[in-house]
Amino acid sequence: MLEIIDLSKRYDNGVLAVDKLNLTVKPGEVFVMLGANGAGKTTTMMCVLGFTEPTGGTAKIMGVDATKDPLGAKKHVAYVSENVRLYGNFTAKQNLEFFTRLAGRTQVSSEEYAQVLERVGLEKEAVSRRLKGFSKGMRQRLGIAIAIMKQAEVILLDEPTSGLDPKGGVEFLKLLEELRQEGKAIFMTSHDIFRARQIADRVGIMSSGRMVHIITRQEIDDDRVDLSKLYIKVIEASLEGAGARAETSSAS
Amino acid sequence: MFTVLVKKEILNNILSFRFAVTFLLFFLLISGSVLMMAANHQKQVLDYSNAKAAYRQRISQMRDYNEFEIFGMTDRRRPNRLSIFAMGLEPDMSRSVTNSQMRNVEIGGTPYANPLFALFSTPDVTYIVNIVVSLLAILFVFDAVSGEREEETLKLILSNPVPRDMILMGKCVGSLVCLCAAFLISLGVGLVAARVSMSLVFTPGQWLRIGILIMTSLLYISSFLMLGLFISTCVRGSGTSLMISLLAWVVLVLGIPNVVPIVARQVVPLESTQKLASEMRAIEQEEWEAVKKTMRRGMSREESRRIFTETRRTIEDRSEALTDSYMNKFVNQASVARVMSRISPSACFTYASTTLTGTGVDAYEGFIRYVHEDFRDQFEASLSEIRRPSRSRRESSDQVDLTKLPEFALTGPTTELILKDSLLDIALLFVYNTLFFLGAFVRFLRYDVN
Repeated sequence: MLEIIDLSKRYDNGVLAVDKLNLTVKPGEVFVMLGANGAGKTTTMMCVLGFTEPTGGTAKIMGVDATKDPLGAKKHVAYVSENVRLYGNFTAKQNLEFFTRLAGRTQVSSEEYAQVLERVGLEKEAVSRRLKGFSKGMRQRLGIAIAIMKQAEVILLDEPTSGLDPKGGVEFLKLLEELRQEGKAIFMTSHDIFRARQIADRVGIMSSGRMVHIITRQEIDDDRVDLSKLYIKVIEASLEGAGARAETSSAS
Repeated sequence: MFTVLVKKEILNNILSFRFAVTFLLFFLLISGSVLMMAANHQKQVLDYSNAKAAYRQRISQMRDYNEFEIFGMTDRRRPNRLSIFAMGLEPDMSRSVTNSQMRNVEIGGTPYANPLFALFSTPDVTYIVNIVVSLLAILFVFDAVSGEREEETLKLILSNPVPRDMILMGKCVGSLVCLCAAFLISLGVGLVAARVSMSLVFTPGQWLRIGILIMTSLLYISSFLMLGLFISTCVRGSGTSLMISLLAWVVLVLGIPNVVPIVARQVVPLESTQKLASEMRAIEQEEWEAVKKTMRRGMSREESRRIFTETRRTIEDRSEALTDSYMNKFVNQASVARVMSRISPSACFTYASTTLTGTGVDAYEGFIRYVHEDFRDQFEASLSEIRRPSRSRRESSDQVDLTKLPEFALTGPTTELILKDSLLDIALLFVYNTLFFLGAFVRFLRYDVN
């Protein structure tokens, strides 16, 4: 389970990237966080992973406080970045082996590696090929394979579907569905409203560092709710509110 | 976990194009240099033996003391085998030394040397390590951290329960192992090839010095690796990292060692050698003018000889005083330059390697001292023993027995002393390694991976 409690991050230049964010992602749940560029999605993820120190609040991964015990928290979380590049000189298998060992799993059979690579849809001939010739979709699949091999309870995905072709996108969602079935708590940031609608149990809309709206699966499935229109409406309202707040603070 | 990181670094390096180029360059340059320098040394030894044989033949034929008075004796220093690794000031010491009663000690050169060899001298191993290997070392790691940030692999590594210091250590050790292995293999191949093709052998003492020289080279290579790593942790982009790394290399390897002597000349001014020579000529002229005035007709041969010998001694004493004063200033200037240049690891490495091979400034000063003091004294002391008064009318002048002439036997400092002399520079290289690593360590702990 992932818990984000009153998480805030203000950068040295004064920009408030995340403003008292509260959120919980339960096992077997996919939470998709939507938001424009600069909304604070990635900063939230960086704080959860301990890459950026929050200025307030905390994040707990499987009950372990990521700000107090970052290494302990990292045992329970797997991360897939927007651009999975990995080591171009290594083959897919070498990359997978390295990150699996780094995650602390040293006794892994070749069969298990082969099964995971097959599961994410990497063809057999690609497994022993250097990564330099891999497409973005293939790299993304390998990134998911690395996350699977870690056997972490929480999976963080930073805009994983950007740049994927439709087929790649569908296959990616299928993999996410399987991980959800396995009981993983999945936290994903995205711009992709279409895919968020398909996979998410809940969709959060973030603007100016705040979680301004959360939509449940029931609301998403409700034909009367158009997620795209709702997203734009919420963002506009949030930006107007932020502008008004800025004017008030500058006047005072 | 640490082993996993080190293995990854080694494998990633070995599979890279950068390593292939580096290894090829190391192999060609280092192995080639050892072979060429060994061949060059072999030729020097042959030249030395020939010159020595010619000299022996000449003195065996010399019977007339007058002839000996004019030409004196000429000997030379045996070529230093360790100069294969660091030529240093060896060419300035492998020269003939002439002692005669008529003149001061003369250190000769040859007018037949090919000037092209001076213009394009064969690079020795320490030159290659100093210039080429240091550049390749810094280029090997310039993007170790910034490049991984750009490729986002750093984020993926750090999303695992791995401490940052361990990641940095893994990078250090992995890169160091690759570069050191490439260096040692290249050097080893060169030495084996030289042993097989030219029967190049070293004494146990020389092997000890070679061993320490190799360790010093590795320490020097490591200092540039650490510097590259430090720079990589200070910037976000690998392009910027490359530029700063190149700049740092130029300043440390080309800038400081070349600029410092100029600065030292300003700090400790020293008159030109031409001025010194003209002052010495003036002394000579003045003394001989005085002799002309004291010489009178009817003076006995013995008295003339006494005046002549005394004058020569006075000239020598005054010249020596002048030279001593000049040398003191010179040594002072050299020490200032030496101290200042030690802010560069390149200078420390040059001092350490030339000291270890006996081709450095200390060895040169020892050579000059030996030539002007010990060898000269031995020569003068032997004069009374080699002169044999004429015994018959057929012998127009006194005879000589040149078997009693001293041999040029400059014994270098002991291995212990050499190690002691090189210790400061080796320690400084260690300090640079520590400083650069600590800098990288502190920066990496706070490195922004976004």
